[in-house]
Amino acid sequence: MPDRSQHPSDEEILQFIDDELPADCIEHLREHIAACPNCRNRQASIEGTLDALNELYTSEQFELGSTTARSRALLQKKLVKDRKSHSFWRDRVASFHLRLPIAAAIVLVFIGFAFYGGRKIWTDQPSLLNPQEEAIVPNHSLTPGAVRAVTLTDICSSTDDDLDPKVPSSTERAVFQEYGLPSNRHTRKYQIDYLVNPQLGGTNDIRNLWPEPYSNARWNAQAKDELERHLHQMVCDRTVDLAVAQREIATDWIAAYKKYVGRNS
Amino acid sequence: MNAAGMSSLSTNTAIGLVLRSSAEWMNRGASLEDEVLGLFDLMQTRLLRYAVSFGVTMQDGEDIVQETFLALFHHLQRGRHGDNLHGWLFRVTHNLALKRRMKILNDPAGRDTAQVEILDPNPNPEECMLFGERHARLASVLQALSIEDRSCLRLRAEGLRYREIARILGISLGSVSASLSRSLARLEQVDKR
Ligand SMILES: [Zn+2]
Repeated sequence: MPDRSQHPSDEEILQFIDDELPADCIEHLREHIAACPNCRNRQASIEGTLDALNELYTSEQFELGSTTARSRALLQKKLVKDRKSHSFWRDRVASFHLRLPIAAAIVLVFIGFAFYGGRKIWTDQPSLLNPQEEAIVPNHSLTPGAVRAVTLTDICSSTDDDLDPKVPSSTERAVFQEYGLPSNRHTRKYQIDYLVNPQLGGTNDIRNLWPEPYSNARWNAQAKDELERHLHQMVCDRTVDLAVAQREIATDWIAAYKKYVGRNS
Repeated sequence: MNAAGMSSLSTNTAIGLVLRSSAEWMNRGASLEDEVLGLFDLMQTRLLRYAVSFGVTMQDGEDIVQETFLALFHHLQRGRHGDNLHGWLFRVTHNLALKRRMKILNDPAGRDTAQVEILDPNPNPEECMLFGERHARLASVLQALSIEDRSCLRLRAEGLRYREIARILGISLGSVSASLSRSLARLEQVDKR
C-alpha cells in the first residue's frame, strides 16, 4: 500500500473523476488509485454521492414538466416579432446573404400561422386527439402535470374531496384553446380535469389541466375520478408511494387505472 | 420524464450536431430562427431547472429562459457563432436569474409572490415526501449551501467543464474545484448517516 502521506486529496480525486486534472498528474493519480484500496474507496464514495445528487436533480424534472410546445410557440412568435421590429432593412445590404434566408423563413412562419391560425400549435406533435377529437389521454407537452410540495399528513387529513375544483374561466378557455377546442362548442362535452388531482398534490397550474371527454365509453372522466379516489386511498394506506402515484397518473392514467383499479372492476 | 434526464454527454453531442448541421444549413439558406428553436428544444428544460434553482417562480423561470433565447438570437444575429453556446446559455440564464432573485429579495411584495409559488425545487426536509429519505437529506444540505456553491454543483451536473463554470460564476478555476469538493464532502457526510 502506498505511503499514506501521498494519498491524493478528495479534491484531486474529484478532479480525476471529472477529468479535470492537469495532464501530467493524471497517470500518477491513476496508478496510485489502482494500487490503493483506501483511495479506491474514497473514489467510490464520491461517485456514489455524485450519482445520488444527479438522481435528485433528475427527479425535479417531474415538477418542471417536459419541454412544452406552448413556450416554444411563444418563443417563435417573439423571434418573428423581434426580427420585424429590428433593424431588418437598415443593414440588409451589408449582410444580404444572411438576411435573405431569414426573410424567407419569416414568410414561411407567417404562412404557417395563417394556416393554423394559432389554433393547433401542437399539431406537429404526436397525435393526441383521435379523429373524433376525443382526447382520452392528455398531451404531455401541454400537460406534463404539476404538483406542490405536500406531506402525507396534508393530503390524508384533508376533507376536501372535490377531485376537480372549478378553475377560473380564463384558465378554462386557455386549456381548451391550447388543445385546439373552441370552448363554446366543447364545454359540455369535456371536463377540465386535474391530471394529478389536488388530493394527490396536483395544482391548478395550466400544466396540470387538460380537457377530458365525458363521452368515451370506457376511458372517461368518471373512470379517472374512480382511479383518483382509489389512489388517494392507497397512498394514505401507505400501499403506494405518493411520488409513484403522482408520476403514474401523470404519465399514463389509463395504465395506472388498469394497474390499480382494473383488477377490481 | 427520463428523456429529459438524459446524460449530459449525449446532450452535448446532440448540441454539437445541431450546431454543426446548423452551420451547414446557414449555407443552404435556413434561418437563425431554426437554429435558436433547435437549441431551445434541447436546452429549455435544463435552463429552466437552473433558473428556478435560484428560488424564482416557475413563471419567472420561464420568462428568464425566453429572455435567454431572445438574447441568443441577437448574439447569433451579430454573427457570434462561438463554439460554446452551451456555456453561453447557462451564463445568460445565470445572470438573469440572479438579477430576478435580487429584485425579489429587495421587494417585499415580490417576496410574498415568490412564496406563493410552491414548486420549490429544494423543499424543506419535512416537505420531502416527494423525494426519498436520501433525497430529502441531500436537499437540506443543498439548501444550506451558498448560491455559488449550489450553482457549481448544478452546472457540473449539467456537464459543464470547470473553466466554463468559472466563467459563468466569475470565479477562479481553483475556486470551482474547491467549492465542489467542499460541497460534496458535506453531502457525503449526511448521505452516510
Ligand atoms: Zn491512497
